[in-house]
Amino acid sequence: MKKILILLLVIFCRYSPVMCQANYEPLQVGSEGAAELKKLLNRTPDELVSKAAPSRLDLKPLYVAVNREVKQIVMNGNVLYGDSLTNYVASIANRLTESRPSMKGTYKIYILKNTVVNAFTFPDGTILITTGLISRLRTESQLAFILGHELAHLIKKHGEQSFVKEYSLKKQFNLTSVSGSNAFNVLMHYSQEFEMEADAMGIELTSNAGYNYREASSALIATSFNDTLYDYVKLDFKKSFSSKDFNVDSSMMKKNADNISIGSSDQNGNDENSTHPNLDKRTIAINEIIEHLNSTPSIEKYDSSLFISFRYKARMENILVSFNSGNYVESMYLCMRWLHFYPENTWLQVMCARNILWLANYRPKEETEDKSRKNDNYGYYCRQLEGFLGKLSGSDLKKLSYSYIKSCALTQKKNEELTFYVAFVSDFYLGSGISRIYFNEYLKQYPHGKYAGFAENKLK
Amino acid sequence: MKKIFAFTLLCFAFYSCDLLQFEIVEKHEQFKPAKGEIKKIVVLSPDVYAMQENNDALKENDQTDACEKKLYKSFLRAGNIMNFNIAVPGITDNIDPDYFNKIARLKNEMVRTSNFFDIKRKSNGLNSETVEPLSANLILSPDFNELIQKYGTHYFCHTFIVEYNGLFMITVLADLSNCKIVYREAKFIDINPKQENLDRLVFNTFQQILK
Repeated sequence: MKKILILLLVIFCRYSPVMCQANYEPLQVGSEGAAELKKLLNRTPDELVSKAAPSRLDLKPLYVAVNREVKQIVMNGNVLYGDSLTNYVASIANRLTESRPSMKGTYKIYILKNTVVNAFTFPDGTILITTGLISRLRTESQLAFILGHELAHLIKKHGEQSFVKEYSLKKQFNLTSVSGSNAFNVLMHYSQEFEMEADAMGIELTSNAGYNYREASSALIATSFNDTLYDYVKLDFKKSFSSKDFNVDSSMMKKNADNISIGSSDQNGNDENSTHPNLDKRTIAINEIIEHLNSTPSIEKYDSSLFISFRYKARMENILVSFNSGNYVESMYLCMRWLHFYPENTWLQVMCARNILWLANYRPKEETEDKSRKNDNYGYYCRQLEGFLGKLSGSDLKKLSYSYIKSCALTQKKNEELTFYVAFVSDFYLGSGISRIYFNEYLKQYPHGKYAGFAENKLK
Repeated sequence: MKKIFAFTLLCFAFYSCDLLQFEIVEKHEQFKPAKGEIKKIVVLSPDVYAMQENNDALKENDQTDACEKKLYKSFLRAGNIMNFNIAVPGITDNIDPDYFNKIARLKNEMVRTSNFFDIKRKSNGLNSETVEPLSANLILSPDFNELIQKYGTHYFCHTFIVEYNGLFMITVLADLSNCKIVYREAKFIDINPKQENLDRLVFNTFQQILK
């Protein structure tokens, strides 16, 4: 009996979403998704105006700006549609609007690959949720509240209302732009009112769909606090990078990284010039609304393992998008952070080696430190990484990249990605002579693999 | 007859005026294509980026749009005259998933390699024309390799206009079979470039790559 139980436990662990996170296949826009994104690129402002609710004011300037903004975001190639993550988030939004049939077809959810924690709604019904935001949340109910909040902006037509308010303020004060004038503060006051209104309606939608609406304030806290609070990790780069080929000395780590401050909020200061009220005001108002709700919240009615598997995807996409935008230190920090939780993830190890190799080739001429980095986990470890990698020459970085991926290949179960990148990195560090052996090995194992063309070319 | 006349007129426009004030060209040491060897280059849709904050030159979005349209036209004209294929997977073309999954990312990676192009320092001495070897191994992700079969060439080029204390037209050419940047150049252009000047610059750029 005991043996059967152990066997069942092993099978469960092996196939549960958390344990399956040993590799990663990046999300892709499918052909349907591409057609949908193409539609966004080919829209005209007039089409949007014709679909908008009648207004006394000419809304064309608003939709010209919206169209341009959306087009720029889509052209950048970081918007996902039609993939599993977007479909999952859209299914939550559909559940939230089930009780409002008039909402059907008025909005579309897209995922924006970006490490910034944000979600935004355009008046045309385009709702963008960043992977940075999803990676921070803990439950599906929290995600449902964030979506409810964004949908509320659309239901209440806050985008159009802001435009009308701005127009009337400009007329009243005879201004061409409200920024830098008293009218700006008035506009911010309206904007904060809209946010409070969206919070209230977000709770209503979350509650109606059967989600745990008591998670509303914790969702705001999870997205507002620095990244130390949401999952504190203690990283040891010396241990991670040391191998028999590469010795890492503790003195290589930057000393001026101050102590980590835990849990300071980015959004609790003076909110006079802000579009959003500060966190304290919002959580107090949310808690008041929750106190007056009579329905009993269903606690984790929906499958939490599903949420965890999609949050994992968002976290991996953050690493990829940091790498693609040239933020190699940030991308490396995220790799190391998630390797702490998924130590057998070969995709993370490959990404780590790639970041080091790319840094060797794209080292900035002067050390530029991002002063906006706070003393949280992120800032502390990024500074340490910057200091450590900054001390290494280009050839040392190539050596580190090679020794790191080689030691991963020795300890982990080999797969296509790992086998190929051992060859790829060795080409830069050891030269084409030795890398031929590795490329040969790759071709022998994966003759029709993803990188077969590249490997064949190297062997020519 | 009409075509010959138009061609002669364009050639005249290209060579008659020399407005080029500043140019840097960098070539990879292994990039020595024989004449006619490069049969096709995939030109990714030309873009205009406002890279610096508070930049005045490209402040107005309308001006950015106009600049982009002019650059796009220049590419179409140069492609027709020089008789090699240019595929522009931009908004006018049929967009397949590769645009969002690979090409947009490739464009971003190519733009990033220009951040290390020391234009600012070198542009202090305008009127200079230099050809230098590429100083660094500017590498690209190997998964772009899948585009070679689809587009039938391993040369992918991206041209964009960017503001670095003045407007520059930057062209980056990648050899995807090696995942390396093999050629890049920066040309100083007017804040409000004339169509014929852009035509000439684009034409010269491709002549330089193909020669």
